Amino acid sequence: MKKAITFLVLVTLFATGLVACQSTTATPTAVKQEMTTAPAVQEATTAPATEAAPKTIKIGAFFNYSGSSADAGEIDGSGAQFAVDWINTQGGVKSLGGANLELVKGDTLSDSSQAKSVVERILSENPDLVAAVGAGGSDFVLAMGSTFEKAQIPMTHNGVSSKIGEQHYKYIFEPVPTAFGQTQIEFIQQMLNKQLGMNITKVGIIYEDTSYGLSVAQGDLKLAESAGLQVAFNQSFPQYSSDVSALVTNLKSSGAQVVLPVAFTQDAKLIFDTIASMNYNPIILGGGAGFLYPSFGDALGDAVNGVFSVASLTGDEAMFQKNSQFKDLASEYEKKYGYFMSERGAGSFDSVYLIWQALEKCGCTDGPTLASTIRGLKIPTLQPSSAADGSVAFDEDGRNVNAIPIIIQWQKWDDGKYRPRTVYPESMVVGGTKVQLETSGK
Amino acid sequence: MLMRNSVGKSGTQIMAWIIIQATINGILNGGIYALVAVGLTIVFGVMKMVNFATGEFIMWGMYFTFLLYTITGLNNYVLLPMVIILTILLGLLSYVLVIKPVLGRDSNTFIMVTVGLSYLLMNVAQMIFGPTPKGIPSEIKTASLSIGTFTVSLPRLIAFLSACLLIIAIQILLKKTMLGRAMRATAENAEMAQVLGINYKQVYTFAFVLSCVMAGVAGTLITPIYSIYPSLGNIFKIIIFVVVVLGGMGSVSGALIGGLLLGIMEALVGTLINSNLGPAGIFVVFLLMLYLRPNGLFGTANRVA
Repeated sequence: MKKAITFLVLVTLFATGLVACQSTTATPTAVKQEMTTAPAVQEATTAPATEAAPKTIKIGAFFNYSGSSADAGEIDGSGAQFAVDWINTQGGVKSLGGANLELVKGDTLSDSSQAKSVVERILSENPDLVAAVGAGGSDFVLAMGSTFEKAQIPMTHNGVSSKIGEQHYKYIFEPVPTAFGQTQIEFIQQMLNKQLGMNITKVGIIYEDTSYGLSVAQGDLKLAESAGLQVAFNQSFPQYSSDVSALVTNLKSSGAQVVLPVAFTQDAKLIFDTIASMNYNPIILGGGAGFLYPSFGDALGDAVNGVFSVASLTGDEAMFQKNSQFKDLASEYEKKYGYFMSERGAGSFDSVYLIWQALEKCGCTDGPTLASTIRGLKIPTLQPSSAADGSVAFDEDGRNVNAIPIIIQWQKWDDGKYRPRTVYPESMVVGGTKVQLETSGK
Repeated sequence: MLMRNSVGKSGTQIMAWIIIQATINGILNGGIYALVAVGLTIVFGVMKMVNFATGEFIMWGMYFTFLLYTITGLNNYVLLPMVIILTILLGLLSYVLVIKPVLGRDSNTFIMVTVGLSYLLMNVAQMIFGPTPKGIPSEIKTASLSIGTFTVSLPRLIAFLSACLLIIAIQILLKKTMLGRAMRATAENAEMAQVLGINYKQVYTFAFVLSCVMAGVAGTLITPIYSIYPSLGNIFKIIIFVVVVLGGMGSVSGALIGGLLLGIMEALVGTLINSNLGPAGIFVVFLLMLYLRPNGLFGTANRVA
């Protein structure tokens, strides 16, 4: 009898809890509405909103703070937090009474299947969240995008998969470029073959089996073939592999002169070391991600010297060309966090910076208006741009059509440390930086 | 793969090269799998329980090596004795706090407790060392021996040879020492062993700590090959269970043969078909073994009378 009563009480409590949670997530706020499709975004007005200016403006930061991708999440998070701290020392959002920005962290646990529920929970706990930045990768943006659309909250992110733009989101903005493959092939043709006379004819493409890996690799494949390069080997591998010797054995036998790998840090190191240990010396032109992290340089030591990779941006002098207010950012960031400002850190900084600029311009926190304002921004950011003034330009699908990828090469800087340096396109190269062929591919 | 390569080799020659190189790679990887699986098979053999935290003890072996390297600047092989001491302490602490309280309960309790231990070890590692992968500089991490046109990775060769030596050492311990006899007796029947004067609880303690030490040693030996990060244990978790079941649960030499078999299968399937199917090749062998020999290659059937 006792057990039956205890059971009934537990079931009642559980059911009550379920109902309470449903109520919390379903309750519309004054700003957000529950709709099955994203509403049309309102046109931005130049007049500020008449709402009372908040003292703090909350921005969600959805990164992998734990789990297998926590190393990338740490860099993402540090870039976003650095931006918030930098903006607050500049006086915050002046058009909203100097309101400070505050990051609300959402840990997506290195698991894209959890991303949506993490976002929903943070949104329900923070109904005054104004915007968001993210994410752990393109798979995560794809998982959480619809939630931001429904909630009418703009989100800026550093995912590079072309699939994100294909969703035609109105509230998701991508300041970084997606044409990684094109830049890699152009670099081979224009720099390695034409300028340096290397006669590269065969490439090998290996990539992790994720949305990001597939997106970059598909771009590489299509463009390499149309550029007349022979794709001697093309294969994916499981992320976080314990061994890639099968892959490298095939790569070596294919005779590929340039290898285009797409992987995060652990796999990037394994690929690099396995290639080296098999006495195979192709030029390595990484697909971004793990080939750009500070930990990659730490793991490889001197052997990182000369490795190339495509990137959205990196924390060298080229990043500050069009906006001198950024010129001390990289050194301040490195002093604070102990590692250089890499692509991810700079990308997260840009994401927060764009939201700040939109808040300043519209003087409001209304989601649809803010989204429209972000779309209309024409300002220089850290992201290398094809525009003469270095500005961004977002299209209807939230893509920054001015963003251009760069090719970096790991080189030794004056302080003796290895960091990526922009070596292509030449319009982005600063200070006479040159490609160092004698160290590449070792 | 049937084209001529840049030095004019025929397709057949290229294929032969690929198969032989893949086999070499597979043998070396199999040695690593055996090395990381030995600890698990010892625990199962003696305690009849599965330790789901084995991967995390490997990870902690690597972090201990990293810590000691940071303090001393010595390479990982020289640091092995100190890592063994630290892993003994970690193993003892884990046993006393987590395992001993659940001794005598059913195997599901042990599984849940060791799963919890694995998460605890992972998260403590992340708290202390952070999520950024660490590495230890090693002069030999990309070194290899050349045998004609074939290459043999030096760190993997060292790990493979170490696995063989460790397994021989454990076999000697089990077959030729009183302690080994006590372990075998406890593995057969703990109650009877107690009646015969063997303190089975002490044997359990020794077996568990020994398994942690084996995992820690494996971690030290693979630091030139892998970055060190808190969730590293996950990349070995499934493989070591398959190795142990394939070789026969509780059989140390079975772990070596099982590891080699799986390493070769993974390498050949991954090289000749697709690297994504390498792990699938492992499971095909696994399923075949369960069908043909459910007790594994060297496992024995339980007494029914």
